[in-house]
Amino acid sequence: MATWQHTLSDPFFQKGQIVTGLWNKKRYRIDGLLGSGANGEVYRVTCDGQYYALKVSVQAAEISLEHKILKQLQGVARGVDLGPLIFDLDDVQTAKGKAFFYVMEWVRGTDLDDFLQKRGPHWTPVLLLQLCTYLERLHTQGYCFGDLKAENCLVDEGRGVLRLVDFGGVTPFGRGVKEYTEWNDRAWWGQGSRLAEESYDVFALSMLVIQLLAPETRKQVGQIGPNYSLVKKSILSDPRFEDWRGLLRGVWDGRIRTVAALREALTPLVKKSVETEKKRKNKKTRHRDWTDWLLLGSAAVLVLVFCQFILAK
Amino acid sequence: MWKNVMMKQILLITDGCSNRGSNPIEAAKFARRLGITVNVVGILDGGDLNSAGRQEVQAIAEAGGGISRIVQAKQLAMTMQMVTKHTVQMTIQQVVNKELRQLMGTDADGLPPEKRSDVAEMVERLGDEAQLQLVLVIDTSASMHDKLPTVREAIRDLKIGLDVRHGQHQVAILTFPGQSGEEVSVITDFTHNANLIDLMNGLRANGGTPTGPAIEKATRMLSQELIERPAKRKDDGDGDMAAYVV
Repeated sequence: MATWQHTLSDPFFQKGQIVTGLWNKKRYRIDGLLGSGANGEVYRVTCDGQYYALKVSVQAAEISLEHKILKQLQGVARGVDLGPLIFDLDDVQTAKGKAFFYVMEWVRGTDLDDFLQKRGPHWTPVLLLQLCTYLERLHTQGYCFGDLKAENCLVDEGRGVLRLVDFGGVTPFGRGVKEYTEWNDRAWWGQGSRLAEESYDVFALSMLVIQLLAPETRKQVGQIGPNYSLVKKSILSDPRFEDWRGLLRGVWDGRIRTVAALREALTPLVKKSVETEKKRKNKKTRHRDWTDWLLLGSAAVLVLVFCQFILAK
Repeated sequence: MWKNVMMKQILLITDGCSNRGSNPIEAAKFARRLGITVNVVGILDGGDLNSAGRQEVQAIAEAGGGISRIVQAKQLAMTMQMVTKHTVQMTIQQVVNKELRQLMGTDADGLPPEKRSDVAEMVERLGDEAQLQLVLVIDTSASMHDKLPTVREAIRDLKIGLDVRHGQHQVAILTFPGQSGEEVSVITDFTHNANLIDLMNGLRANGGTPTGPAIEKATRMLSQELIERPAKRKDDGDGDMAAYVV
């Protein structure tokens, strides 16, 4: 029967090793381990001079399901990079027996918290607004993202977009969420079930806000255990959340349960961020770079959404 | 067919080697013969999970047809969820594979990778709908003392996870060694909702580690149900899961 021990055992591949798929016969050179979790390992690989990311696991079912979801998302993305682009799905013979992998785009990016440290916390609403767009698309497909947390977001500084990178938690609506992280899990906080639904992601996103703006709160409160009233208390007395209290209160009292409602609550914050950035730019009188275009783009998206809203009425 | 099938699992949580009573590996073998899967999670963190302990953890799971995992205490909750869910799916996968072998001469892993997702989706759905009877067998010997709050949290978390399944579930909790000198105590049986306040009082770290007798007790609890409720199974023409589990 399945032995299922890889957290403590050796990794699947070594650096420099060539991996050949059993079905499609594609050859990948292992460049290094990008990360590993309970459900497998992700490697940076090279194939025909191109960089890719390869996820490998002993669980054939999970690999094939994740691959299917990513492929489906790629089909409906229409210009929005929902998930990483997906390239190959195959099996491989390893020292530990047969393993299963898929190959996807290698998403280069900066960690969300590093990015905010560099650019300032006023960037948070802008990035979260992008996240809302992704989540809406995903929800339209009938899936909940599940494991929404800072570690699963990367910011592509070159193109100025936020990308979601780990789709292992993506769960069809109506089932139990497949993968989650305590801090972002509403069930862990005693604030609802672990059912995959829109409001599950909304709650996770609200916890992401707290994690990004007050990282030490997560460390302190998260350590004590699930005490949600303590979280609320610390936010109400924290000046960093001054502009965010309306949004967070909305999530707490159940007014904000949909991504659309969350987006609406974000709107004034994004406007304020645009102004903050403008002022900064004026002070420094710097040359324009991509960040201006990102902010302009975000403003344009807001106007478009607003127009759509009016037209719909 | 699947909604009437009862998955039976024992999940053993321990941080050391058995040292009292019957052989736990034999006990797990016996459970497996009755169609019960035995999973084992070994906890590191200051316990005496040396190489003998690790080997025993693996050997019990292997004999019981289940999964073994050795993890840090903080990974316990997640691991218990995954082990339980995977075992349900594994049991279904085995039946599906048997059918596939008859139909197409290959099991799911032998299908082209692109085609497996359909089988995987079906197995996932069936796993969500199947009924589950689970006995948690918790080591409460002296070295477990500091880990018991974590175990309690993990059980709470497991319940949260089970609550969103579509199939019904019943959970019983045993501790070993028992509270007043006996080898095993029943903290909660199947008929009651796991009361974690009881558990808080029930989990007392003391004494030796009679792992074998604890597995035997869990097996009796699970197989009693098997004997008491045969009528429902007989009119289910597809037969008993136990017959499929190899």
